[in-house]
Amino acid sequence: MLRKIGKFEAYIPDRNLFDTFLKILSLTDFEQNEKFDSTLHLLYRFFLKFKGKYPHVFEDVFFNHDPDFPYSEQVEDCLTRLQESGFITRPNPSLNQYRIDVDLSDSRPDPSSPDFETLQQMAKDFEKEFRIKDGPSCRI
Amino acid sequence: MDPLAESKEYNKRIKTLLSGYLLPKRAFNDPGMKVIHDPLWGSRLFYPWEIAVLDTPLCQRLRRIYQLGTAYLTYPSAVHTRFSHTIGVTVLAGRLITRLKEKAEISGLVSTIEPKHIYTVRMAGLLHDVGHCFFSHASEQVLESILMPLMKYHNLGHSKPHEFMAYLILTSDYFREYWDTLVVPLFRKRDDAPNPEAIAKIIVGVPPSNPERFLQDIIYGPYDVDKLEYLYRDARTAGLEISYDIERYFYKITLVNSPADTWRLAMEHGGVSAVEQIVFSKMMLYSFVYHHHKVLTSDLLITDMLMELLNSGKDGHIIVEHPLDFLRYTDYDILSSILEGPSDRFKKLKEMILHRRLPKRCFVMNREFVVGIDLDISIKRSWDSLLDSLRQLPDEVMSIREAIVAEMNMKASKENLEREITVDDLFVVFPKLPKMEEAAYAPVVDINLNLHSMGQFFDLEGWQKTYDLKKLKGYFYASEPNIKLACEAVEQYLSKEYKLKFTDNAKTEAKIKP
Repeated sequence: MLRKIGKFEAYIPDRNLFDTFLKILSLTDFEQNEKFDSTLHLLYRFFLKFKGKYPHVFEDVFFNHDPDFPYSEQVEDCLTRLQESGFITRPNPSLNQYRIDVDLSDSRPDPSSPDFETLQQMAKDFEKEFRIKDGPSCRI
Repeated sequence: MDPLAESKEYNKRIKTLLSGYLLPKRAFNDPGMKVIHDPLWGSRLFYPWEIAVLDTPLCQRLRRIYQLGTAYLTYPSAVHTRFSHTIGVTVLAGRLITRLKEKAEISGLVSTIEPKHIYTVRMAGLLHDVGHCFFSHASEQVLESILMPLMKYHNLGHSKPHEFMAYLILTSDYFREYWDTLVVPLFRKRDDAPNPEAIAKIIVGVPPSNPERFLQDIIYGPYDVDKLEYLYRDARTAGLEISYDIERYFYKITLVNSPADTWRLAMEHGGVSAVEQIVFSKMMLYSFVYHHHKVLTSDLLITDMLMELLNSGKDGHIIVEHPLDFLRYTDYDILSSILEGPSDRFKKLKEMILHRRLPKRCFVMNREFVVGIDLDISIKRSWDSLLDSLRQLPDEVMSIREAIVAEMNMKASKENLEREITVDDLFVVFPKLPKMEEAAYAPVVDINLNLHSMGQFFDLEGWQKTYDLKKLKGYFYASEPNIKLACEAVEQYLSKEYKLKFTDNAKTEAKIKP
């Protein structure tokens, strides 16, 4: 999307990763108080893989050129914003998991929206990769 | 405009810009080696080709861009410039690569470091900030959205605007011609001369080649010397007592061959504590300097001046018609007392900076001050929506300010206060958390040459984020006579528009008695 800043055209991304990821999380079977793996390099790799698979959805998510850790400012911003808003937290003492602190059903996208199936597929992939294998014991 | 045509237009404009910025000066004669004295890093030798480049107006203009913007209004000695930082980065890049070369030669493991690599990485250090524009922080904020389509076209969406500007300069035909004609002959062996394309790639975080990836790591990456330099210099000039063991840091960094054919930097296990010190220093600097409420408020005045410059039809000696025009001016030009400026408002804002008439806090926001946030998802959503609104581009935040100012004027007239309140009586900012996650995955090498991530040795990202989330604050500011009025109007606005109520801490932290 283009808009003006003074004389200049400024580019504003049509969608941001925060909204997309919130929709993905809301379409998983994760429930409130359930935890998922927060291993950062896995999360970043996951989004990098998604960018390759769904370029139109992740058009404005950029990664650096590190072979081990594909860092992305947009992914960091998204994870930070989820924590700042209190949607997810890293419960102490183990900081290697995120706990979903809210019922995300309100964030579910409209099933008639054009990306619904894509988001649903992403949610399945996400859950497969990040669900902590112990199951119910990860809940509080 | 289509990106290819736009790219050509940039190249054309860079030629005009550089024709004034790459005056040969002493480059026709051998400028010789020079020793430059720096209070942090001592007396250091610079090569003739470095002096030739440093002496161009392109680099000299960095003397007139403050490294910390207007932070000197809060920390009087924080008047160091991009130029002194550039000198420091060149020195540290040279020291680090020399140390790596010694280690490699002694261990007999590798012989990958040639003189050309040393010259390349030092030159990348010297040129890494040439793309900075006046009031770097405020300009970057606006330039990011202006330059993004072109950055995407060049597949450099991850880079910062000033890095991209440097890339455009160094890869331009004009710079190449200047380099080949005037700089390369200063090298004893022509083959030792760095390639400007490689330097440009290093600056935007792209390895020149896989075997030369370590060159990029030295300037751009989790172990880069840019960070080491600015943290130390910023802390020293602000008077903040931080320290880290840079010698240990340099001794413990090593080259690893991973994946195959890629040489990169990794920290030996024994150097992890040196990295911890640096991360801690960064957190302290954010807390005490970069996010200090007074530093943020003077930044806001600068941002408003910039927007006034861009939005006003009149130029008033400063002409910014193209994004590259941002490079024509420095902090000195914008704050110059002889600059008329495009409007009376610009003049007023400039005087507020020059006379240090900074607005004062009237309302402080922090997640923990929001009533009921842990109990109600709708409050969490409202809080998120508020943060999102306050972090938009400056002209979008302006609409929030206008709404609150309207409220303040209504209150003032009800109380029969004879004053006209404008948007220059109310400011707001909610900074973003510092970025740290990249450091969490910096590579650490063990004695068997296996690689691990830094996060395995201490939970860098976890504790830093938890700490910062507690400390991070946003501020509303008001001009002195309007503080109480603004506080009430802000409180009312946040309640009406965002359904958010704050504890008394929001006022007491602003030194307002509830």
